[in-house]
Amino acid sequence: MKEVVKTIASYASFLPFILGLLLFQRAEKSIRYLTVLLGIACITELTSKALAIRGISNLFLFHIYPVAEFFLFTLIYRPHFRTARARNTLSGTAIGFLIFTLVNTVFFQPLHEFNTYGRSLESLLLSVISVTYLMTEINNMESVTKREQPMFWINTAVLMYFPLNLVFFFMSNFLWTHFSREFNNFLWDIHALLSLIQYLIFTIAIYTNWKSRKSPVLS
Amino acid sequence: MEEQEITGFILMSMGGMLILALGLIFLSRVSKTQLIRQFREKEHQKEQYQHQLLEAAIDTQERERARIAAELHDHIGSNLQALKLFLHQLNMGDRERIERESTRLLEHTIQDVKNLSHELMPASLTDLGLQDSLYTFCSRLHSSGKVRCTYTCEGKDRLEPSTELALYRMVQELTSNTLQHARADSISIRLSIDKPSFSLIYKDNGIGLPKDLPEHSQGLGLKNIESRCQLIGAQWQYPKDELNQGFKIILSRKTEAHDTYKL
Repeated sequence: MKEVVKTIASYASFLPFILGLLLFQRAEKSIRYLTVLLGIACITELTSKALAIRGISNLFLFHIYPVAEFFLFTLIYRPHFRTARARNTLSGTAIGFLIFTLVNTVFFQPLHEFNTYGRSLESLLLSVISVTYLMTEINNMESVTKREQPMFWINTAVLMYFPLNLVFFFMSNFLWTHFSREFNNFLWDIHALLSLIQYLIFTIAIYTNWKSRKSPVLS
Repeated sequence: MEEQEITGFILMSMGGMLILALGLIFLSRVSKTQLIRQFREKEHQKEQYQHQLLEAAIDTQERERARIAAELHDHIGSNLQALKLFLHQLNMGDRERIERESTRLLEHTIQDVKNLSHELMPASLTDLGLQDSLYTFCSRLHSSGKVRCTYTCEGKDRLEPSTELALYRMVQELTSNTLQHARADSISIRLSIDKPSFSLIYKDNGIGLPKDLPEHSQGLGLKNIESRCQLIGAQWQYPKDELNQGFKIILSRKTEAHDTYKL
């Protein structure tokens, strides 16, 4: 059962990615950026598996992927923050995160180590962004009903994944060096489950966007 | 640290974050739904109010038309009818008497037409402006003996024709209300103009408005006033007199943002 869940979770990004590709032409901007993000996730997953099969370390991918992921999430969220100040802060944060990752890789956690600092910081920043988005959306009278708004689902996926994994990412290097392989695998299985939930919610986001563009927007 | 403790710590932190995330999503959804419901209720009330104002404006227009029709029929029409009869009798009876009567009748008819025309659109409003028109209006009212009318005016600026007409009509409406319902014997009108701002304070010493008058008044006349105020970008207030006697209304405009003719 665990292996089944793990395998499904490994390829869970493919379903929303394929759906996003099929509906790309009619999708709104946020969904298009999400599709690109999912594409990068799929490529990263395949590369990671190919390297693992050949016995080559794939940890360097987790220095590159968070930067791309964070950058694309800022592109997804940016149009939905109304003030120029908020949008510029988001852009500045993306640049800041890139610089941080470079410094971290060069001086603190090289490519053969798991990027715990970068991943944790990314989780923290995205948690803050998603909560901020939630608070600003409350007063937005132009929104359609929640179920039909793709950003609601994207934000839910972010809120369900990143805050929950924050502590785990931060401690992962320590856990790997101080505890058994079985124990670490158990924790990564939980991560795989959360990842699966995240990608399923992304699938709902892409589907609702397609549905709302197909029929008139309800208010 | 043992594996169990670490597991417990990580699972608890994940669980806590999950509860927090679900709580935030639920709270935001509930708040949003409530806000949207309140917003829609407010919009609906606004729509209803606008509908009432429109109904009031149409109703007033129809009443005015009916009044003009009655005036034309009862006075001017019947005068002309009588004149026609006199002219038929020119060759039959006392020519001099018939000419005298016909001339008198014609003079009355001309005067009736002038009065009606003045009521519909006072010539002095276009030619001399609001200040002088209101002075004339108040003088006539005072001379009629129905009510004492005092009028004070500050500022010589002319406002836009639409604004002057709207203010004139509002004063007509207010005095009509006073004469018909207020049982007052004194009216005071104070006008102050500093273009584009103005302030018009109307007061009478009658029975005043009902104590439980809601924010949006119920009467047709006052609804018309509110409607006209909206059109010229003015605000209206019903301040309570210290002794709670009589009726007082302040019509004012402080900026030039709402003049529809400028658009």
